[in-house]
Amino acid sequence: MSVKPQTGPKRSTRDRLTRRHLLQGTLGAALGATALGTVGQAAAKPANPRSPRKLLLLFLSGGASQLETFDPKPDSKYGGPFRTISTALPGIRIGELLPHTATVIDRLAVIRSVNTGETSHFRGHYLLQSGRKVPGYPVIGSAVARLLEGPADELPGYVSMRRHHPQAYTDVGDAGFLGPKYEGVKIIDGKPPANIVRPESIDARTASTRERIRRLSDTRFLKDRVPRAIRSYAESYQKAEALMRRRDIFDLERESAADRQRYGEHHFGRNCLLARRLLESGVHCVKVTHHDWDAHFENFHWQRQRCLEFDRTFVTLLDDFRDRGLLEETLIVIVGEMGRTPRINYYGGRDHWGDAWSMAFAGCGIAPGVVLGKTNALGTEVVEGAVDAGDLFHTILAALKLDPKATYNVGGRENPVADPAAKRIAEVLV
Amino acid sequence: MPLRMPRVDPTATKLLREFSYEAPLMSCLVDPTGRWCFAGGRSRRIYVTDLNSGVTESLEDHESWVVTSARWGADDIAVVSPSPEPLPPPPPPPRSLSRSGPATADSKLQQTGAVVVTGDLVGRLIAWDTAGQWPLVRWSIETGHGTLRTVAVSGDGRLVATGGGDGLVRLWSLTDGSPVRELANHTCPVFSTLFHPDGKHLLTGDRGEQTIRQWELETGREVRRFDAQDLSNYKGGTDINYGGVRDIAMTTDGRLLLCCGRNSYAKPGLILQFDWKTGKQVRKQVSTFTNSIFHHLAMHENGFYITAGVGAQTGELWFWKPEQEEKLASLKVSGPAYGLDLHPDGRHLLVAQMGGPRTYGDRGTVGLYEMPPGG
Repeated sequence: MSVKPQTGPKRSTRDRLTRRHLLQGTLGAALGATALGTVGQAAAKPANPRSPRKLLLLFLSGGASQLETFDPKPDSKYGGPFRTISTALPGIRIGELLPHTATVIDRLAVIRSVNTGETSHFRGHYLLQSGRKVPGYPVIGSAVARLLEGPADELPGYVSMRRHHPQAYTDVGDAGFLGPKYEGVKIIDGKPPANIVRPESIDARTASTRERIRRLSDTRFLKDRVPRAIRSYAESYQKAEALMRRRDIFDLERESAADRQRYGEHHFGRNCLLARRLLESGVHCVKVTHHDWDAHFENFHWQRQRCLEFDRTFVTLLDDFRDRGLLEETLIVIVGEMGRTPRINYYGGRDHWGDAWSMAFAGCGIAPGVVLGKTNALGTEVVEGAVDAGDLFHTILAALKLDPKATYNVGGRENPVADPAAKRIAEVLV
Repeated sequence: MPLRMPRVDPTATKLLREFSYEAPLMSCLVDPTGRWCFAGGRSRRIYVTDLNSGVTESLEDHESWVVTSARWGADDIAVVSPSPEPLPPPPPPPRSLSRSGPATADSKLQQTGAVVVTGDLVGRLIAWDTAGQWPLVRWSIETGHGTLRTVAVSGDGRLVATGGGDGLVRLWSLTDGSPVRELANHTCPVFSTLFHPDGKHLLTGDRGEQTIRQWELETGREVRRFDAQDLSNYKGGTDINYGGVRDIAMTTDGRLLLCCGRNSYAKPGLILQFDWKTGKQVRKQVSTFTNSIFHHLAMHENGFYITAGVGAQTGELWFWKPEQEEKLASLKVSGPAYGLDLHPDGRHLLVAQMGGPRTYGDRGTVGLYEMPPGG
């Protein structure tokens, strides 16, 4: 498999969507299904020049409420109980649950006009990470791992962090047709992959012999078989092994107590701190899942609880990245799989809403201080600057200086890295 | 303490009147004189209704949804029962019922022996004097809780207790709204408060750990903890705990501490009983009100108590006796019942309800129910 810049005609808007593009999109899934057997056998020569840029995806799983965060409607009957607060951008107000974020909003680009129309957690998780509705494509973490891959890479390109329980829909989608090599290594509860470290009772020589036998067995087993499953296992093992050689990264005790406290002693805080250590160590993309935004019941209790964790940790992270010079080379994306209904149900909850919601960018490639898009007075519809998941995918690639029009060569066929029917959001890019 | 409430038959409870409001309601409370109903909900307005005439004043003193309220009445305050038929409206209210800030010399002059305290979800707490021609603001303060969830007034009318999203319990002077003390042992939001009738203790329930803490008022010390884990309500799919100690009450004989909520996702609301002496849970009363949660619990001097519940688009009242696991009676009301108050006359109940299409409430009502003599 290889990646090369797309040389075909430029189609930058959905208005120019042609039958060919539609076929390409559909074909992608078919390719994904058929290409798995050949992925990895093709030459891996990235056509993109190596970018030093990194991606940190802060995924608000379950769907944060845009009305309690970036797009409050205090005068609407659906506005909810909370007030708005002024921000570092004159004239821009956000929900009072994000007081720290309000002070740094001039360093972000906020989009208030995401319209994916998707209200399923499972499909939403895939859509927002792959930029596609058609299954089989790699999520952004896997794509970035592939596109930024370099010969000196020691660690896996993509690491995904979440809590052990519940997994729910957080693991939906992954490397797709790129194959297991680009699957995200799962870090559960901030712990390094289990059962990799040599037990003390086994000496180094015995362990080495055991490993040699394991590899020989794999090779023999592969001779007469379709190699996918074995390769998947081997590559996953190797990636986990590489991470374990650097298990010092997971030792947050190496950080000062003050820093640990600033990030927060909760899952999200610890995972954000670990994310920084992973990115500093050479991982190209880290996804940190912040759980439990799915507030069908007593939304205002839960949005407050979630924002309490998110707000301070995020601003701590942003400052820390800036102070370390990491922000110049790291794109931070704050997004979930959907927003929440403007209407409030009888249980005080907000349900799933895909038609009008918000997300934010910060860091490299991003024009700071931009607030893009507008929803109507009730917050039910986008009235200005609608963007969808495909556009966000293009924008992430563009901010990382990766060519959204490049293609993967999968089994001899060219397949666009990003949906050709979508476009980058120029207003939020420098 | 002598019984002031008449003998009533809760099993024959019936709807007398319903008052309509523009917002889905979450709380209601009758003032100590029995005349004024304070209702709040999904609106920044608080609605003050004259129960005799049905006239409502919609006031803008609060900054967010009014979800909690409490009252205190001096022993000599006369209680008026709601008129069975609407009476002529009272004279128009003064130009402004409202006034923000702490108590002033003027507001102290107007102070009466009948007070209502209302709290909203961004932390504003307002005390209203209610024995005059119209209720007037005594003081209005910012409690600093972030989200204010619960308020109670001490039996002697000296203290107001508040609890909320910051996990703190704060005590205030009812006279002027000045801070008295802060109690800080909860590690999660405080959802319920009750001054113990002995006048020496405060009880507070949380949402997260599902505990009830007993505080000594004089010292501010936590002296005991009740474990209400049966009100824990964890949903694994989203890792959200829907539980919590939603309300607390003491039986009139002082033997039992009661609390309510629900114990599992999509399961019925329930009540837990604790022996006051030993602190042990002695009984669990489980309703058959499907997919519900009991938000309020009102103790009647006759010895029974009432819970109001919210189900899937429905609301119900449940009547219980402490010693019986089975209910005395239950009654469907017109919508999800978030608020409940026992009228000081002991014969009427007020229920704050939501209404609207399908699963989304867009209006509210207060149902005035009568428990006829008997029992």
